[in-house]
Amino acid sequence: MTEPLLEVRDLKVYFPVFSGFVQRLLGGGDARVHAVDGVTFSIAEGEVFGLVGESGCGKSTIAKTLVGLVRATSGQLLFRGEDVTRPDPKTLFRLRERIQLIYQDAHAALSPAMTVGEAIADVLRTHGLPGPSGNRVQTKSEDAIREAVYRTFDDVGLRPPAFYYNKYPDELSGGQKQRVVAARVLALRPQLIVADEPVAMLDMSVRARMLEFLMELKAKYHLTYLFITHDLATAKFMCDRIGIMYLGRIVEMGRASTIYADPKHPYTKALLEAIPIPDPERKTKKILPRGEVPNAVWPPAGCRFHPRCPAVLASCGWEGRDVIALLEERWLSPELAEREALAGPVKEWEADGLIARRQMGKTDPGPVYDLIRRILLESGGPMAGAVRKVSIEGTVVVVEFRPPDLLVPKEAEGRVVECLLY
Amino acid sequence: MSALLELEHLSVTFETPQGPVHAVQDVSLTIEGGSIVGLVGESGCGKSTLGRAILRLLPENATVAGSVRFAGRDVLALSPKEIRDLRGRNLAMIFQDPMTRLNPLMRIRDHFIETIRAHNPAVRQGQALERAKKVLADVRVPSDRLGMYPHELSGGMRQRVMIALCLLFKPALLIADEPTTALDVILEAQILQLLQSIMHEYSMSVLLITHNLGLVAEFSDRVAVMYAGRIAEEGATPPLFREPRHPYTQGLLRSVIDLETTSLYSVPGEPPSLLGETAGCPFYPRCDKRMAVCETVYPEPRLVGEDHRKVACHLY
Repeated sequence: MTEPLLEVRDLKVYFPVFSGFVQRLLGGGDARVHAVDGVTFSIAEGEVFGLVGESGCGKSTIAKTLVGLVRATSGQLLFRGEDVTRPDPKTLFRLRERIQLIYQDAHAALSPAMTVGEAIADVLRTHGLPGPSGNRVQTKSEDAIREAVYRTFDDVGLRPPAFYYNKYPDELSGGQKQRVVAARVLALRPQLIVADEPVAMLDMSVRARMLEFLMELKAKYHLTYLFITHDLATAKFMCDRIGIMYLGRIVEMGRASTIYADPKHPYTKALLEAIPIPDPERKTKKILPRGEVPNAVWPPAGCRFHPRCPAVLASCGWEGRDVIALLEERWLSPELAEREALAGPVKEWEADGLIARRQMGKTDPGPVYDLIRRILLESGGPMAGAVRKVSIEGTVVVVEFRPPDLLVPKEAEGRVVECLLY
Repeated sequence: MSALLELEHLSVTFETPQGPVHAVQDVSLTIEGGSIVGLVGESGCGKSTLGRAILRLLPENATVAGSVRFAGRDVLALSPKEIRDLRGRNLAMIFQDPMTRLNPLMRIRDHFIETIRAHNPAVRQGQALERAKKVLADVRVPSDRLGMYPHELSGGMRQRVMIALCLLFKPALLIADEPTTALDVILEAQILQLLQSIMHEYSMSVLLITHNLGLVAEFSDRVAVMYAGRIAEEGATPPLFREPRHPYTQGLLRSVIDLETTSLYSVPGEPPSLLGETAGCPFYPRCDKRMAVCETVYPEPRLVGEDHRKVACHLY
C-alpha cells in the first residue's frame, strides 16, 4: 500500500476559555473548548476526503491546524510521512507551499489595496517560482514573476491575463474573485488543497460552476482535496471518502457511497433526514433529534450525541445533567410543572458528573425522592436504565448513574462507526 | 378563504449615488388566510426588500409605489401611529440572525415587557410575564430563560424567543425572512416544524422568504420565484416543482445539489445589475430559450395552465 499523503492521528485541539480571576480561584481554571477531541483519518494521494458536520463540530479547526494557523494540543500530523505537528518556522514555510487553503469568502481573502496580479506576484517573490522537479527557484526577475502570474491566470481561466493583472478585487465579480483565489493557491503548485466551505456563500444557480472548476483543477494538477462542508449533498457529489463529525469527534467514516447508501450512526441518519428535499410530493414528517449541539467546553460523557440520540441505550453515557434536562423538558408543560412543583424548580437541582442532587434543607426529602423515582420511570426512557440508585443522603436527594460503556471506533459493514449499537 | 394580504403593482426604488436601484418592480401577490407562501430567490433578487416593504420598514432613500392591502386596509396610507400599531399586533416579522435583533444588554424578560407595553402601556409587569411564559411554553422554551441575557441562550433558543415575541399579539401574518439561514440543518428543520405547528395553533399565515428551494418545497403551500426584482413565476407548490415553466425556475431547480444529484448544472452568467432602467425580460441574457422579443419587451405575468400559475415569460 502506498503511503498516505496526509495522516492525522488522535488529533486534539483545545482552546482556553478566558474566565475571570475569581472564577479561576474557585476552580473553573481547566475550562477549555474541546474543539477537536481525538480525530484520526488519512487522505491518499489524488483523493477527495470530506469532513462533514454542523457548525462548531471542529472541522474548520482541523483545517487551520493543518496549515499551522492553530497549534495541536496533542496528537500527530504526518505529511508524506514527515511529522509536521509542531513545525518550526522554516518547516512551516515549506509546508505551506504544499498545503494550501481555500476559504469560504473569496472577497475577504483578497486584500482590497492590492491588484490581484500583485497578490499573486507577492506570493511568488516570497516563495520563489515552482521549479521543474517540485523544487523552488528564487528569482529577482520581475519579468519572470509576471510571466508566472500570467500563466496561473491563464490556468484558472482569467483571460487575457494582462487584462486582469491590474484589477483590484473590487472590480471583479464573485466568480472571478474565486478564480483569483484559486490562482494564488495554485501558483505554489501545492499537493493538498484544504477547501473550507468553498461554495457555502454562492447562490445555487452558480454553485455547480465552482464545484466543476475545483474538479477540473484536481484533474489537471493531480491535486488531493480535504473538502470541508456542512452540506451533505455537496459532499456526496464531491468526495470519495467522508468523515462525519460531531462535537470534535468523527462518528462515522468510510467511502461516501457506502455511508450515503446505508448510514449507520444515528447522527449521520439524523443529518440526512433533516435535509430539505426540493420535491413537495415527498413531504414526510421528520423525526428529529432533540435539542441542540451542547457546549464543547463540557462535552457530554460517553457518546457525545447521547442526550439527543433517537436510538440511545442505557449504556451510552447518561449523567447528572441529563436529569436536569429531562425535568426542564418535562416541565415545559404547565400542568406537569404544577403537579410536580414539589421537585422543582429546575434551578434547585445540581449536577456533578454522574450525580444529580437536590438539597432539601428543612423540608422532608421523602416525597421528592418518591416523585423523582416516578418521573425517571415514567419518562426517563433508556436513561432510567442507567440509574445506579436514587437515594436520600441526609437532607439531599441524589440520583446516581452507572458509568458508560467504553466507546471506541469500530469497523462495521465497510466503514468505521463510533456507536455502541455496532 | 379570503385574501389576507394583497400586493398590487408594488415597486421599490432606492436612490443611490450611482442612480436609482429598482429592487422590486411591479410585484402583485396575494396571501390567503392560513397559508404558508414561500418567496424564493437568490441574493439581491429583492425578496427581503419586498418583505420589508409590506411592514414599511424600508430606509429613507426608498420610494414605494403600488399598493399593499392587509386585511382590507391600505398599509401604505396608514399614519405612523397606525402602522406601529399594525406591526407586532397584526403583522410580525422575524429575521435571519436573532442575535442582532435582541438587545444584548436586556434580559429576555425585559424584551417581553417592552414589547407588550409598546402596544398596551397599562399592562402590569406580572401580567406581562404571565403572557411571556405562556408563549414561551408554546415555542418550547423553559421559562427560566426569562431571567437570562441573549448571549446566554443557544442559537435555536434565541430564534424561538424571537418567534415568541412575535406571537404575543397573535398576528395574522408572520413574515419570516431567512429565519433559519444562520442555523444548522437539524435546528433548521426543528424551527420550521415549530413554525408549522404554531401557525395552526394561532391560525396565522406565513410569508417564508428564503433562498432554499428545499424548505419552500417542504413547508409552503404556494411559492413565488423572484428574479431581479420581479416575480418570474408563482403558483401552488406541488405543480410548480413538478413542472416549472419559467426558464429561470427550471434552471434554478436543475442547479439544486441534493442527495440525488448525479450531474452538475449551473445557470450561465450572473444576475443583472438592478441599477438604472431596463427593458425586456431581466433573465434574457442567461436564458437558453430566449427569443428576439425578450430583449425589448417585458413579458407581463399571465395565467398559464390548469393550476392557475402566473408566469412572466413570452413562451406562454
